[in-house]
Amino acid sequence: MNFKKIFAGAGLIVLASALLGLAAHFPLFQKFLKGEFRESLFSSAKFPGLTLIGLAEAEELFIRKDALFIDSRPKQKFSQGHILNAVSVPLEDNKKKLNSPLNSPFARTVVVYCDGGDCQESQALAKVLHEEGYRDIRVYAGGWTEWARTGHPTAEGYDSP
Amino acid sequence: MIRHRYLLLAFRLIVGGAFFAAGVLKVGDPLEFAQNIKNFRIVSHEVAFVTALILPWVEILCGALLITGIFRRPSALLVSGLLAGFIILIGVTIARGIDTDCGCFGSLSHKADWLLLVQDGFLLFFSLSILFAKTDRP
Repeated sequence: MNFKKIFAGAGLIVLASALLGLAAHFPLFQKFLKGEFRESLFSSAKFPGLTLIGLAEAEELFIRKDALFIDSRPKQKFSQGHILNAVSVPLEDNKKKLNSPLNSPFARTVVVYCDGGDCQESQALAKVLHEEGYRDIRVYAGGWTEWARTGHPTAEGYDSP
Repeated sequence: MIRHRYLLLAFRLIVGGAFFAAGVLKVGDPLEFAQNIKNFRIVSHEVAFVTALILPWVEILCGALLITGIFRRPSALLVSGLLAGFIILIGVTIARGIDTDCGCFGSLSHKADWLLLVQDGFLLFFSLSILFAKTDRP
């Protein structure tokens, strides 16, 4: 068995795949090079109205009481602490669609968050909410960790409003 | 080492078919696949994006080559490497308690769990059998 030949063949397959992948998704790759998809993997064409926000914007929406805050973490974590007035919609129970509809009109702004850092629940739930009909969805990237660390209003327990 | 040519042919068709289907189901939506890769919390955002563009094509090419029997050893080598990587990835994910879909078959994917680990273990055995087969035409 000639391993040199086998490895060379495998390299050729990877090279061909890379060329095919870049050719097939060249517009997407171009957008990536221009800076899109660096923080989230939402396609603005597929998920219009879905944006990532930071602490300042989350705080602004919280103070104005314009938005419904949605906690996408498991119920147990919500119970231990959450953003004041947030409702619990754990991703683990709502992966494909919402199990029970939210008491909020589709036109209202919703802010989805999870732990922060590299947590992915908020982005996945944001896509579910988009499928349900919500059109102004903000994903708060800093999440619970940043909100609590910076001393913003929180609550404990499971008295979801 | 397995020498039975029809058994090896069956292995090629099973592994090739699984990889071809997995690639085809993912190739149309690289952003969704990139998100699936990110959900494992192992690689960076950029690596997930580039992997999502290329990996489905590796699966499609390897799958097609294994089915047709052309370039079968290089394909089996790549598939074995990928499967070994998937097994480690799933094992680490289970150990870390991360609850996520594997993303292997696009929207038809199921959970990254023990069952998937066993499935990938069987596929790895099949692909290694193809790679190290003694016959000229497995």
